[in-house]
Amino acid sequence: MTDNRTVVTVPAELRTALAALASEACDGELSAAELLAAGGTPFVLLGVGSLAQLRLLDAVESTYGVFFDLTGPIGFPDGLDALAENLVAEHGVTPTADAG
Amino acid sequence: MHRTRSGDPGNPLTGTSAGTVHGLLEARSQAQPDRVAIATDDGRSLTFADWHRRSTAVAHALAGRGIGPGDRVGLLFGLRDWPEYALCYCAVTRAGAVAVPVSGRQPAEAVRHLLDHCGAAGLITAPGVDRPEGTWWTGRLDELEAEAPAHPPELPPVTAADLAQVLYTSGTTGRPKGVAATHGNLTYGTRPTARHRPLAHSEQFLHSFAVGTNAGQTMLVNALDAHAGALVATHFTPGRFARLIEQRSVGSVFVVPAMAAELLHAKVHTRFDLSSVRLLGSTAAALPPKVATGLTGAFPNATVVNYYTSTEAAPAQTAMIFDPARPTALGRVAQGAVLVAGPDGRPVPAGTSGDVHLRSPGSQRSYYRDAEAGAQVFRTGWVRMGDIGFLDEDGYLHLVDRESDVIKSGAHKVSTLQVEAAALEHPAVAEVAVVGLPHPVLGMSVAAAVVPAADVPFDAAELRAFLAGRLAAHEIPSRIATLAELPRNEGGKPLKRALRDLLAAPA
Repeated sequence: MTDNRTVVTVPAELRTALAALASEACDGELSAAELLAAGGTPFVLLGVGSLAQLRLLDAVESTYGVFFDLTGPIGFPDGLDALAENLVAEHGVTPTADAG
Repeated sequence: MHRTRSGDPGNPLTGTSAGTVHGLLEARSQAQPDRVAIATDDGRSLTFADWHRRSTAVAHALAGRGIGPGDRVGLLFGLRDWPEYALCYCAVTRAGAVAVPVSGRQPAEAVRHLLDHCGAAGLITAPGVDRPEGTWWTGRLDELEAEAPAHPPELPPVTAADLAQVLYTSGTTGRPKGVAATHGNLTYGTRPTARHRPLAHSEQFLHSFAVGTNAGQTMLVNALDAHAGALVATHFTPGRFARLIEQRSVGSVFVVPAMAAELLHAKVHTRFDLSSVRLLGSTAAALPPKVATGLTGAFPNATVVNYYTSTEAAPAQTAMIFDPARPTALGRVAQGAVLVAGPDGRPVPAGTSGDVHLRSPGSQRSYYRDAEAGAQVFRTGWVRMGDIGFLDEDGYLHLVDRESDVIKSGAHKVSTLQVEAAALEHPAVAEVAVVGLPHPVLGMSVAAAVVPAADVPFDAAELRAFLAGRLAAHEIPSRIATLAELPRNEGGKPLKRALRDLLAAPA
C-alpha cells in the first residue's frame, strides 16, 4: 500500500513569501512569523477573516499569475501550508521563477 | 436603484400579472425574448425567454407540490447560481407564493431558524448546497423542472398587493428579522413596456451581491427593468472584478463601500482599463468621502453615485452624485421622504442630529411575524434606520453615528446581541460583549471582549471554530480579547464605548 496523497515539497522561500502576503492582507494583525508558526491552522481560526482572505487570494493570484477554481470541492486553500502545497502541486509555482 | 419615475398605471399586461415581479419578466420576454438577462463571469447565461418559460414550468411543478398563494418557499443559492436563483424566484411568485431568498453561505442552523420562523413549506437549493432538514420539502431546480406537467392547470392570479418576498436581516433585538415586501413595493418605479430603460448607456451592469441581500434583490429587479443585462462576479476579489470590467467593457458597476475600498486598496486602476465604466453605484452603507474621492480618480469616466436605503425602507432612498464640496453628505432624498426626529418623534431643525427615518413612496415593507419589533422600526409610515444623522440647510443627509447593538460591517448588518448569544453557548465563555471597531474598509469590524470561565481553558481559535458553525463568516469576531471583568454601568449594562477603547488598543 502506498499513500495516495501527492507528496509535495514546498520550498521554504514560498512559505515565507506567502506568510508575508498573508500578514499584509490582514493589515499586520498577525505577523509573518506568527502565520508561519501556525501554518497548519485554518485561516479563519487565526482571525484571518473573509476580507483578509479575499485580499490574500487577490495578492496570490496577481503575484504568481495563477487562478483558483473556487467552485471546486477545495476552493481557496484554508491555511498557509495548504495554500503553499496547492500552489506547488496544482499550479506548478516555484518561488524564484514566478514571484514578482 | 434607478427608480426615478412613479409606477406605470397603464401597464398593458394581462390581469394575472400586472404590477408583479414575474409580470415584468413576462413583458420583457415578449419584447426581447433572446436578450441575455443575467450572465455570470464563468460563462453561464439566461435569456428573458428561457427565464420566463422555465420559471413558468417550475411554477406549475410547485403547484403540483401543493404550493399556493401566500405559502413561503426558501431559496438557498450562492453567488455562482444567480441565473438559477432568479429563475426559481419568479417561479415561486408566479405560483402565488412568497420567496424567501437565503445566501448559500449562511450556516445551516441560521437557515433552519429563518425557515422555521417564516413557516416555509418548501426549500429550493442550488446543486451542491446542503439541504437543511425541517418541516419543509426540499428540491433542486432540475428536479422541479422534471416534475412540470405537460398539460398544466391555470396558475392563481397574483396582484401588486400580494407578498412577493421575505428577506432576513439583523435587527436591533438579536435574531434576524424577516422583512416582507409586496410585489407593488418591489416593482415601484419600473415600467414593463418602457421605450427608454434605465442604464441605457450600458450593455451590462456588474455586481457581486449575495442572494438574500436587499442589494441583491435590487439587482434582480434591475435585470428585469434595465436596458443593461446583469453580469454577476461569482467571487469578488479586486483583481477579478476589475479584469471583468476590462474584458467586457462594463458600463455600470454596483458595489458596497467595502468592495469600493478594496478596489482602491489593490490599485486595480493601475493594472486594468476601467474607462468603460459610466456609472459606479455604491449602496448598503455610507460611502466614506476618502473612498468616494478615490473612486472618481480610479474610474475616470464614471459618475459615482451614493445610495442610502435599507432592507426595511426600500424603495425609499437618498442618492447623490459624489460632490467634493459636500464630502460627508449621503445625498438628498431621491425616492420617498427623509426625516430626522428627536426623542419625541418630531422633526428637529436643520443641523441638529437625531434619528434618521425614511418613508417609502409606495407600499411599505413590514416585519414578518414580529409585530413587537416592527413597532420599533416602522412608525406610522416612517422607517427608523438605526442611524443618527442630520439634514443640512439644503436638505442633504449626513450620518454621525449608529446605534450600538447593530453594527455595519461591509455590506452586512451584524447584531452584536446575536454574536454574544452564540459565544455564550461556548463553555469557556463566562461573559462576553461584542462591539464594532472602526475599520478603514469594512466601516466596522467585529470584536469581542470575553471573560473566560474559571475552570475551562480559553482559546480564541477554538472559540472562532465554535462560532463558525453558528454564525456567518462576517459575524465572527476578528479580534478577541480576554478581560477579568467587563466594564459596566450602574445598571449592569456593558459600557460598549469603554469596551471599544479597550479593544481598539494594540494587543
